[in-house]
Amino acid sequence: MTKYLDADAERAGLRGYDLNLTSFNEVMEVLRSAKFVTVMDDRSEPFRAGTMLRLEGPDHRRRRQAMGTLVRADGQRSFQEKVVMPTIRDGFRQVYANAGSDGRARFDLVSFLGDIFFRNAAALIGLSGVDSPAAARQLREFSVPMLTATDFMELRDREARMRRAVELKQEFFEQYYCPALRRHEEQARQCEAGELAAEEMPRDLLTLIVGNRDPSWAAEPDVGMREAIVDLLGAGTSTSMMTGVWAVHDLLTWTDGDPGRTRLVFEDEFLAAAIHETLRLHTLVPYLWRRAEEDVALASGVKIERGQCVLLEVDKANRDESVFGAAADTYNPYRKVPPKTYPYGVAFGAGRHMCFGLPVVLGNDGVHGSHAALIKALFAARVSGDPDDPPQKAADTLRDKWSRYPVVLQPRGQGTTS
Amino acid sequence: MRHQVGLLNELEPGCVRQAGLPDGRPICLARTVDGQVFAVDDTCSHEDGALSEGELIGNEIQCPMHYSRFDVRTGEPRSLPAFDPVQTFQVILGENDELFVELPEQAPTS
Repeated sequence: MTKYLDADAERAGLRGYDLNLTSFNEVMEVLRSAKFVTVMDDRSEPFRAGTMLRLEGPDHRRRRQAMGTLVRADGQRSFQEKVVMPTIRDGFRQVYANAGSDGRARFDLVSFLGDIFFRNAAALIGLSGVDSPAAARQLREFSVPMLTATDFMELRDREARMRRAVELKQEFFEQYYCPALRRHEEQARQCEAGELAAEEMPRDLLTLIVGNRDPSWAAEPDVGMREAIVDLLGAGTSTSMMTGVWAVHDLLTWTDGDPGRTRLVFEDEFLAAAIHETLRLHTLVPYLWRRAEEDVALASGVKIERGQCVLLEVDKANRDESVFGAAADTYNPYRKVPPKTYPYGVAFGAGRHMCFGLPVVLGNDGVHGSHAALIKALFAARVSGDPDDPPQKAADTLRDKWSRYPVVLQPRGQGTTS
Repeated sequence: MRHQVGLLNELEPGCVRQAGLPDGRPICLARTVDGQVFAVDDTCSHEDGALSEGELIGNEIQCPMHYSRFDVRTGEPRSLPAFDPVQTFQVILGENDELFVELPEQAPTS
């Protein structure tokens, strides 16, 4: 369960709010209403340095459509084939290369998935040279101090972390962003000169930026880099990585070594439902904020005045017994939800600011996303928890996440149960 | 009642484009790779995304905003976050390759 201690919220510097909502239907209604706008007060302005765009209306639509080309339809298929699957294969090669004399691969699932999703995020941005597990780990180790400083749910040493993050941002620009931007600009020039076919341009954020798909990128060059760091390296890795760990944890607990249950993991529809259940129960974004632009009366009768700030308690909404049943707190991949209810609850938000990465996680068809591919690969290698090295939860964060999750894979050729 | 929404050669196979109804309401014309033309309401039933700005994948149009997919033949949603269908319109090909949509008759007003 997510922590809701007032002391933690105070330590995180959470913005004051006028009322909080915990029911699923109320949270959904606010998120889908055009009468509410997003609120950002995460104390990371030193890092953002004026580059945070609060997009609503036509500007938001334009940005969303531009960015959406990376992850929808052909974009998602191409990303899955060219990035996600090779990245998973490379990751497995590496952990088996380090296997012990018994042939078993022992490793930390948090780091393993972190490297995979950082490599994926680097590809979505268009960074150069992040094309191996080692390069992905280097990028991850470089980026994590910067990302945790901008995460208002991280509680420890906020001011010192922020100072270091500002320094790292400049290093990131010089080491990663600028060389990649120059490469994309050269490719765009070649494209314009007819030396490179348009379809040969990479499908990534930097191609959108150099192609001027949104004027705000050209008007303020730092906006693109801030979005690359916070939206893709940050949001695109931490929640995906931890959802992957939770999904494996939930399935290992639920299957409990039972061969019949384990076989179900290889069935697409079952696995999709299992991932939905993990997303619902272990949301990595436990709070959202919205401010009313006018007086609102929700269907439940709750009244919210213009200007009031509403705290949406996503984790509680996702465990709302009136929607998800009396055992809403328990993991049940066979759960039936009422009509017109997302089986993953509010895990991706809802309405016009719904999470951009949904198609990457779940797949455009809702079944063949990155997480299903990863989980199948792990269970095909008969993943299990490491009995000699128990997992540990992260401290000093409002997010319910693991700091380490040691696992064991069986020797190659002895794994597949499907 | 029939309303002309363009010509067949204005819509390449595998492509979509927007057209308007007499009342100004936008519809999305979709021509599948096998050449059939379908028409659905242009506004996604989830949020206000314009389906004609999305991508056609086989018989499914994907909203550019939040990635819901709809079967252009039936209007039924094929993926979340949309739950509700979009309205479909019968498309008729004229003798000179004009594209018409068949609109429901208006009920007489008293």
